[in-house]
Order: sequence, then structure tokens, then C-alpha cells
Amino acid sequence: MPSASSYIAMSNMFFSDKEKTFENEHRNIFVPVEDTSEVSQNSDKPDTVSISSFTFPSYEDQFGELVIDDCQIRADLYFGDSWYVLGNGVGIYNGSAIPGYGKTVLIAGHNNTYFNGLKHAKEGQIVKIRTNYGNYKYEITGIKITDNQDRSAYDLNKNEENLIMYTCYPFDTLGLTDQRAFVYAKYVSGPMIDKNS
Amino acid sequence: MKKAIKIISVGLLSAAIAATTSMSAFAAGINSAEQKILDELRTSVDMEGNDKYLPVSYINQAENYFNTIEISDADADTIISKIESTKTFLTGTGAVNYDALTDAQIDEFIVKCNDIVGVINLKLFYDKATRTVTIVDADGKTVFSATNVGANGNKNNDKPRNSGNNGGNSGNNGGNSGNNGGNSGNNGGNGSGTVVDDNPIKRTGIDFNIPGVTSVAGTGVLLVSAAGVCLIKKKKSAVREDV
Repeated sequence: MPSASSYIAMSNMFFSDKEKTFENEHRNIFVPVEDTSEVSQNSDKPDTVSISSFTFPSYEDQFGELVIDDCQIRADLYFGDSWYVLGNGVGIYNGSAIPGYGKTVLIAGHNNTYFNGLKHAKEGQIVKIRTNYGNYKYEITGIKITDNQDRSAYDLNKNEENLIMYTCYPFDTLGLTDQRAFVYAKYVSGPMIDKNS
Repeated sequence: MKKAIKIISVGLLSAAIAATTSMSAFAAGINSAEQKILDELRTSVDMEGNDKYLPVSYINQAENYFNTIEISDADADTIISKIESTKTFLTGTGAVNYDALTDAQIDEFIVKCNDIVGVINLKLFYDKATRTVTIVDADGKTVFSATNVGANGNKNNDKPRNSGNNGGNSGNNGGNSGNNGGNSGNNGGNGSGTVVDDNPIKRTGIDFNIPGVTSVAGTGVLLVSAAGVCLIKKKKSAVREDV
């Protein structure tokens, strides 16, 4: 009967009389903050946010959202890139960094859902990331299609704020592929995290 | 009486909020004890003359986790002591890298890593088949994960990816370390140099074990099957026989 389980589950979507429980729901710490990016863009140096002033995200926490208007992308942003995360939004690899930390932010998303719109990515487009501690803007600087084992596609040791988003390629393929589309973006605005306060 | 209860309730609520607030503020950032551990993780371990380092992604996972907890000086000293002991063990195996360890040595190494992360109430799990290391906290929440540990291609092991001051991160020594610990380290590949990063690039295509896809696919199969039956009934004669 294992082959029937998916059909039974499907029918339950429509006919179940059980109330959905949320026992497996994950933590959502995303509370939008006031947008001060315009102010910081016009000042000499970016504003900062004290690391002690907000809740640092744990694995699988939803702590923001990612928007690329030009690509019709709007997705919940999680810390971590587990299957749970990628089924519900896009996720920051927890071996990289969160926005504002001054390092590489590596974000994954499924090609058929949340990051399908990356096929419309072009240089100059703005990526907006809103988090529970600040709002960020990055500008797309390049796109690269490469093998998923190509370690030159990212540098997690970079001590400079930068954003890399990636998804499976080709964009509309259903299933698993060996290629990835990487979209690179440079930091434009948003508070840098003050790690000493 | 009602007023008294109300005052007590407000008092308790205030105390709870204050406790929560102070706890989150307390846990934020990297304190000096945590920094000591991170520094230790960035040092190398000697394996038959080869310096092995942990991938920078492992160190980053540790740092991210440290940003959510508070480690005391005493725990940090214990952790560092255990890391050094584990390094001594690895050096003493005579293996040139993780792949060269015997099964018994790997088992002992994992036990030592578990002992290290246990200092801060974490548990390390190692799947030999997939070389996957997962470290979870007391609530079972993942704080670290890495696949293909020790099985990197080695092509790039000559140079630290992590250039820079912090240098590459302590190799194999296994990750250990506290938090992230585990990583069984050294994957290092053959020989020289440091370890390449664990490949963080995920499979971002839709997998067929995703419930939604399964349901959609199930619906599709049903519809196609139904349509197929209709087609066979109505157009059987249209089926080519030369294919």
C-alpha cells in the first residue's frame, strides 16, 4: 500500500475533517523594522545595528523576506537551507553569513518555485532583503551558470559584504540537475552589524 | 483581592519579560571565551607533516551558533583542552589525512568529537555511509551539518581557501569544537595543505519527495491515466505500428 499513501494524503487535502495542527511549525522572528536605507545611502557611512539589540536567527528560523521586483520574486527568508526551508522560502546557508555581518551571504532557493524568477535577473537590478534587524539593498552585478561542484563560484571567506543567490539550472527543469545559476550582487545599503556592542 | 492578583500578575509578567530580554542581550555576539574557541578552530593539526585545517564554512557555522548562546570561560577552556587532545590523537594515528584513518580510529575520533560538543550539551551524529556530520542541541535543533566530511576532492587542498589571517581553520581536528564541532575533520585529502570547503551548494531542483509535488504528480498521473484510457478506447486505431 505504500504507493497509495500519496493519493490518500492528496485526498486528505480536500476531504480531511481534522483540524491542522502546527506542531512542526518553525520559529518566525521576522518583525519588519522601519526602512532607513534612504538615510544611510545619503550619509557618509552606513548606519549600524548592535548585535545585542536583536535576536540572532537560529537554524530554520524565518527572519526576513527577499524581494526582487524586476524578477517578480518575493520569498520568506530563513536561516539555514534545509528541505523544510526550501519548501517554504529561500534560505541562507548557515556556513555563510547573515546580511550586515560583513561577509558572504549565500542564499539558495528552488528553481521551480521561489527562485524561478532568477531567470529574469540582470545586472543593475536591486535585491531587497528585509530582516528583523534592518533592511538591505544589493545590486546585481553578474550571473554565472556553472557546475554544482564548481567551488570557484563562491567565496565564503570573503571579508566584504556581498550577496550570492543560486538555484538549479535550467530554471524550468523539474527534478535534480548538476548545474546551478549563481546571481551575484554587491552591497548598496543597510545597517552593518556592530559585533562588539 | 482582585487588585492584589493583578499586581502580582503584572509583576511576574514584567519579571519574565525582563528575564527574557536580558537573556537575549546576554547571548548576543561573540564573547572572549567563544572567540578563544574560534581561534583554536582556525589552527591546524599536523598529520604526517601536513597541516590540516577546517573548512571556513565549518567555522562560520560555529560563529553563527555562538551568536545565539553564551559560553563561559570554564567551558571554553575545557573545550579547547579537548580539541588539543583530539589533535594529539590525530597526529598520533600516523595517518596523512582523514581518509587514511582506520574504522576504529574514526570511531574513536567521533567519540572524542562528541565529548567536545558535549561540554555545551550538544550531540554529534556521524553517518559513515554518507560521511554526514550533524550536531544538535538539547532540543534536537540542528546547529551544525556537513556532508562528505573527509571526502573532498583534494584538488584544492594545497592552498587554504581561507587565506587571510585567520587562516584556515583547524583542520581536521575535527571540528570538534564546540559547537560546530564535529566535523570530523580533516578531510583533507591527501597530503598537503588544508582542506577544501564542504560543498554548500544544495540540490535546488524540486525533488520528488516533496509532498506538494507528490500530490500534484499524483493528480497528474490520475488525470493522464484517465485520459489514456479514453484515448485507447476511442483512438486505438490511431496507434502507429511502425514504432
